[in-house]
Amino acid sequence: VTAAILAVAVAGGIVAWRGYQSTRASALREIQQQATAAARNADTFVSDRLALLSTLASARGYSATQRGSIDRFLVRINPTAHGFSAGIGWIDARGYLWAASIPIPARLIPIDARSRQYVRDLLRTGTRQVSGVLFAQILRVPVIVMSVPTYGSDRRLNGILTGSTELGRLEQSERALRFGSTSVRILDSTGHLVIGNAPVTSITTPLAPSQLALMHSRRAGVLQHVSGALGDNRVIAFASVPIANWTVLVDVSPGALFGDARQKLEIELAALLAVVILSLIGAGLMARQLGNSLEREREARLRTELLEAHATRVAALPSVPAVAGATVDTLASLGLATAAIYLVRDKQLDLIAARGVSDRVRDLTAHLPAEADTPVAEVIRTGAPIQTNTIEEFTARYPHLRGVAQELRFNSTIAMPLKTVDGRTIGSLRVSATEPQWLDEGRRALLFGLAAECGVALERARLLEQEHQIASQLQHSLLPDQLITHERLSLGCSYYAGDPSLEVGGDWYETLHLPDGRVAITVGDVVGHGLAATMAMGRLRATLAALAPTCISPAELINRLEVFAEQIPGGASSTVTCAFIHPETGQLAYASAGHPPILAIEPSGSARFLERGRSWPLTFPAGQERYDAYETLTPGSALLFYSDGLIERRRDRVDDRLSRLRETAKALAHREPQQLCDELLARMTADAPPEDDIVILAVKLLPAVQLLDARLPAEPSQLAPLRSRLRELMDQEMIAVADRERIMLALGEACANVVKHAYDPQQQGEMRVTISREDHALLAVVADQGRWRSPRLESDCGRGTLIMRELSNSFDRTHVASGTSVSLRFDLDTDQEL
Amino acid sequence: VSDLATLSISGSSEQLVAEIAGEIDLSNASSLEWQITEATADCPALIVDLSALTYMDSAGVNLIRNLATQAIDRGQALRIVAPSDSPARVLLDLMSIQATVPVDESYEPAV
Repeated sequence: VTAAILAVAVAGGIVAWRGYQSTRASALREIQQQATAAARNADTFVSDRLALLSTLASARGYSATQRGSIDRFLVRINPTAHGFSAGIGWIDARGYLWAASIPIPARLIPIDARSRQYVRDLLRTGTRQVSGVLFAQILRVPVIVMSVPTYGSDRRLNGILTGSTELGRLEQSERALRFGSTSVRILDSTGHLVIGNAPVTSITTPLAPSQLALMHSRRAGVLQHVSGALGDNRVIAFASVPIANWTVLVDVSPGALFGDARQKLEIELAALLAVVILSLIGAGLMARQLGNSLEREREARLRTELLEAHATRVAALPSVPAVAGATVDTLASLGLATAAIYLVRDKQLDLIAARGVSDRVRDLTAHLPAEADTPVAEVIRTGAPIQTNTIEEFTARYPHLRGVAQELRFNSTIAMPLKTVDGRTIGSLRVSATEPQWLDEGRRALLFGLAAECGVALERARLLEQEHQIASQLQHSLLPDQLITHERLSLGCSYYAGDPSLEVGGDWYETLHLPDGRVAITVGDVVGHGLAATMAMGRLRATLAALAPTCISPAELINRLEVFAEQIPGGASSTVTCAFIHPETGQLAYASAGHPPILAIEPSGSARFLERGRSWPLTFPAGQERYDAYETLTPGSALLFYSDGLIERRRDRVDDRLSRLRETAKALAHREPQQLCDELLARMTADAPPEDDIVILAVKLLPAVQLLDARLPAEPSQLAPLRSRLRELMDQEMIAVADRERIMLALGEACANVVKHAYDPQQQGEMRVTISREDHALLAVVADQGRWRSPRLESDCGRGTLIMRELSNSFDRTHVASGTSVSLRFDLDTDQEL
Repeated sequence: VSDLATLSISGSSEQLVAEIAGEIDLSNASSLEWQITEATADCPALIVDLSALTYMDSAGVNLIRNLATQAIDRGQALRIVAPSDSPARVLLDLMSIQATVPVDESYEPAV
């Protein structure tokens, strides 16, 4: 700081000095201009007078013989009025004065003037002359003389007309030459004073010859420190007057010339000095304050950085607990022993996040009444922070919290309200440090900053949670609320959104009741995933739901959907598979537009893909033929609809994935549809997280009425009683005789097979027989949990299998890890008379 | 013997008739087979009448096959009687049993 002050002082001094120099220079310039102007005036004065003389000289008749008339002529001119105060005279070509305006005694005529230099010069050169200072012989006063030639009638130079000016009267008559200034002087070529600061009455030489020579050589300029007749240490500006060989001087004393500049310089320097002294005195005081403020500034900057970092961190957090947790973490990183955040909810304070608090205290303080006598509740009521600096101070104020205060060593605590941007108090933040007097000004500022940020961030997170909930609801509204219900169907569905920011993607499904009693099951997939795909799928699904009731077949539905798909942004190239199922008859019509095939899972546990009814995706190309394919489903069988996200993985071939899907589905064949979907999704995506949206929908045809579900020991003696029950059932169901025989026989064979072959002879096994009735069919499933196969399996089984196959309308046998299952379907001749 | 089926054997030493009524399944087929084999060991001609059966499954078919094999060993003439619409006949036709044993609609008692 001192250095700075001195630097400023030096700079100020330099500026002042330069200002002084500049002022001096301009003063010198000013007197130089004065001298030059005076020289111009002198030139005009001389020129005017020479011109007058020339005019007079142009008159003819100057000759010695005419001296009387010349005298009268010259007097009439009144030479004094024209500046020739010492008169005008005429000198003949030999140098003798014959006539003059002033009276000259006749005895002196002609006066010999040949010794005068100007006479000699003019007669020699024929040109006009201005003399130096002369002592007039007749008037006995110093004069100057101007002279011009006169010419005779023969045009030859015949004399000189001279005008003389008395120096003593020049000063008065020609005051203009000096501009009223006493400092202007005029010297002749040899340095004699022509005009001075007083009437010149004698011949004086104010300058030394060397000084005069210097002036003559420079013609114009300023000399300083000149000493001589004009005084000591003078400043003299000079300029020449060429017409008369004169030199004009402007002579001033340095004091007069530079006084203002010097005075200004002195004042400036004095002021500068005063400033420097005061600054130096003040600097010592200021230095300490400056140091303090720098330190404060550094702390403030660190605080700001920490607050900014924290604000950035919490801004990315989507939930209230996450924001609160991050805030208490930041507080813990500041060296605080404990930190707790409470939010007001329904007249109660809930602990949202805490650090450094034991489980016991956490439990005790997890929910506080709004009117509780604790700092966290009090700040919410008052809106003002509460600070204590020692544990004694805290316990004095909150005696009932002594235990907690001692356990957590509340030496420095502060509780602050948490406020929203619009100033509402939504909760409070309490921190504590184990060190007494920990809360200095900077730490308080930081904590207040964090509390302010925290309040805003918590409110923002709360709004975000709300928004997320709304967004989630909106997304889910794009898919059906629920699957249809039907007494003959069981349905289940699993959904996975490939975009982690969304809960619903481009895959969709819809289940609908059709007016003719059928149900429509559809699954579709919009190209890509993400929000755009989600929106497109929502529109496609809604469109399909509107169209389906008016269509008689899946192919027609796809054709009509395609017309709209063209107009839905992102709807092009969508795939969709539609199935119309008659739950009572098991009649299935299906069609697929570029969608992976439906997997049909038989009640026995076998599974196959329904590969027919296929065409290209919607609008790809537009207007193509769509085909329906037909199947009759066995009650108990299930259809699995899914999107390509389930079978398309970057690393695997689709064929392999389809096989894997089929095998996985077979292993899960007996699960209820919802479990089947959930388990399939889990198993098919167990090796790697899904890359795309996935939808799986399963629908299972339930038998109309279950007539029997019997679990029996797998023993021969059980066969006859089973047949008895079956007979009763068939009586009850009024089944035609012809049907009864074959049903009995086929089912008997199925059960006999279990008895003979399912279990090791040493082992007690069980067989399960389920029989259900459809309107026009009877369904029987015989299942066991056995693995043992007798050596005679092939021939015996072959015989039984032949019987079952021949006597039933549908025979299916599945061996799975858990056992063997045989399904038989008997179409009933319901028209036949009993 | 179980209550499931009744076996009655009649006829002369030249020709025996084994009539099975009731049901044949896994539980009694072996027993029936044993009884028939014992009772008809020395008889040159055997007729197994299945007309009164109300149920017979592949166990019954096995029974017939086993009797047929045995008849060849014994040099015994075996005939099966099962009317066209009887439960046994349905199964026997299905099993093409006639390729092994003659199946008649009925038999003339006591030649």
